[in-house]
Amino acid sequence: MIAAVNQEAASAGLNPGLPLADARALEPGLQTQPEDAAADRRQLEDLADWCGRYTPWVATEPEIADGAAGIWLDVTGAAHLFGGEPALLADLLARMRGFGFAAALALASTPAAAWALARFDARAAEGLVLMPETERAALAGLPVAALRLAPQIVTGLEKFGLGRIGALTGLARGPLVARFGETLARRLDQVLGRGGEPISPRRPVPPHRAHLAFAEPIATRAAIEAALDHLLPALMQSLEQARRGLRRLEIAFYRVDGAVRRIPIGTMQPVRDAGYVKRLVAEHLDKIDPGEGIELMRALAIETEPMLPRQVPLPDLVPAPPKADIAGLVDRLANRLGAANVLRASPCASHVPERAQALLPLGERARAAISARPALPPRPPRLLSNPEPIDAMALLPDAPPRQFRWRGETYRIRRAEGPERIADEWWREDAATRDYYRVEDESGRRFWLYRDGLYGECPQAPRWYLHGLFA
Amino acid sequence: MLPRRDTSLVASLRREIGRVELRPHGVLSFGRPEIDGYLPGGGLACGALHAVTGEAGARLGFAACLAGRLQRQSGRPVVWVSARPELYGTGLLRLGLDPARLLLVRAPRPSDLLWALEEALRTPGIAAAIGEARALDAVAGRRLQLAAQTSGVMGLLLMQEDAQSVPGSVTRWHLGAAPSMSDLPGLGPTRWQADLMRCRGAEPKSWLMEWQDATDSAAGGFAVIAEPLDRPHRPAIRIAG
Repeated sequence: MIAAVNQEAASAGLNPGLPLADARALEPGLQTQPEDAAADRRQLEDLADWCGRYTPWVATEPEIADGAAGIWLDVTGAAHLFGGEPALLADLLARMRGFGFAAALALASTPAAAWALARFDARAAEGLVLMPETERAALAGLPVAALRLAPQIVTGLEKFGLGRIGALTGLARGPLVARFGETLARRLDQVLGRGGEPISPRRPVPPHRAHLAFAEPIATRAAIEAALDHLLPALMQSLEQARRGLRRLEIAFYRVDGAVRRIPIGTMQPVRDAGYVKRLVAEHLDKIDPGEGIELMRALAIETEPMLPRQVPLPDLVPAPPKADIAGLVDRLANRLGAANVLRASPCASHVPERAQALLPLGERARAAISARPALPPRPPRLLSNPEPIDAMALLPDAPPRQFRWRGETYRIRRAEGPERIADEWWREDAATRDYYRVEDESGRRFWLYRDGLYGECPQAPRWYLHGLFA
Repeated sequence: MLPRRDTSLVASLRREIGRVELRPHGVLSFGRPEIDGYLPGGGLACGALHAVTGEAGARLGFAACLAGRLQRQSGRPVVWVSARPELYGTGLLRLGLDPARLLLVRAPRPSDLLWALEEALRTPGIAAAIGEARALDAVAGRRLQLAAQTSGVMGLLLMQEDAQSVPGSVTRWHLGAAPSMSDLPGLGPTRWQADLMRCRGAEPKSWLMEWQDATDSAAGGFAVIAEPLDRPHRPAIRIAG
């Protein structure tokens, strides 16, 4: 079965839905490729990503039908950056062709009208920009299929001789809805701009953003840093006017070959210092492969928080206090090492030692502070994440070991405390009871050992483990 | 005023020089006159890099105790950088280090670890930065020392036992475990054989120290059990490598 055809195949009379054998009979020289819906989808998303160079507001159609799917771009307020709407469309079309895509483009005042014109107006193949007054006339001439209706509604309308959108606009709404359903009226409203159509952009469109296009693609680190020096202050100025500070930032690099690379940056506190943010971004610049060059960069303030303007101190009169900038340290650490590697110890409700503490990323709120519990026997400052098995010798089943071997060394025990019996939580599978001993060897080294299980419970003798090191 | 003995004059001059050199950021007192009086400036210099080698448990405990004292005195957090932070809050609390004001940084790669430690040492808002490093070249050591000097943050480098020299550090300590003493069955208070192997402005010296656990009521503290003269069977001074 044929899923999609290109222009040449279509002109040879091949249509999607035709069995492959029939198509081969019609056109013996047919070249075929197996359909890969997932790859098509990825391609569409990549292309939509790249379209972000024109405007951050980009949406894709949820379904790919007949090998084609649309991308919506809201260029309101963005077209002048590319020399006006016709120039933007011409540029977009030329680049799409450069990538090897067959594209039809239409710019209209509503998403529904743009959808209809791009697919059903022949002029869209060269990029179609309509003024509001001519748009109405152009839409009137389109077939009703351009209203994105179910096929049975389209055939139903055609039976009544209502083949064009223009034939519907003058009709009374009530009978139309009664016969063809509410969808028809809604689509008609949407295409004529009488009713809104909610479409969610693929990525959030933050109100604070800045972009910089380059006449010549840039590829060097120095050039990228110079571009950041333009982008970030512009973004910070917009934030300052809104009295907001940056919490999450994304820098997008649009490459000449259509690929998009992004650097996400997070901060612990709202910031509005371009130099500070640039240092955070610069840590990641090595990971950006400029390819054949970067032609556009965008800075998007994904998340912001209210932040009052700071009074600029008079440098000569007031010596600036030294900055005790722990939040800055955390930001730098988290941005280079990953937020999951900047941690704090937080207590958990468990009496099993390794589950009584969790190392949480600093961004997460700790539930409580770890407190000393004098009722408990001492705990070691270093707890091995995986208890290590040891060869231990104990004289009596319930006595601490007299000596043990760990990592190839033998330790003779001189003093011992215990046992502290810790039963595993009963709801866990193969829960075993541990007997913990605090031991000190001849030279004073102190360890936390446990016997996993009790004598007599299982056929073989229980194993010993080393779980922690005392100071 | 005339000095009574030449040796004491030299010693006092040395202390004076040390104090002037290290004064900009103050010192951390051990709380024991035996140790504080011996160290130039009356304690361990803040804004400087100190290396702690020796037995794994003892060196960790010693560094945690020092950082905990600083944390309590300054009210500032402590940063601990390690490839595997297997630290346990309840245990650290006994050593006087409050895990609520402890930032743990996991840096598996040595280059990241040194970078993170240097970043921490550059931040004046913290009390101390502890780094568990495997190896350190001269340039890295010097960088860390400079960062500490500029910000006034104390840097504590925990090194493997076999680390013979730690470039850039102002003092180097070798910590060994020592058998605890107790009339009761069980373990007595933690004891360390603390050897000051190298110190600008002072000769090497050894102490047998005992650590009194920090509890809710008491802050915990060092006690000096013996000085080298009392323990002739132990080498009083080891020669720094």
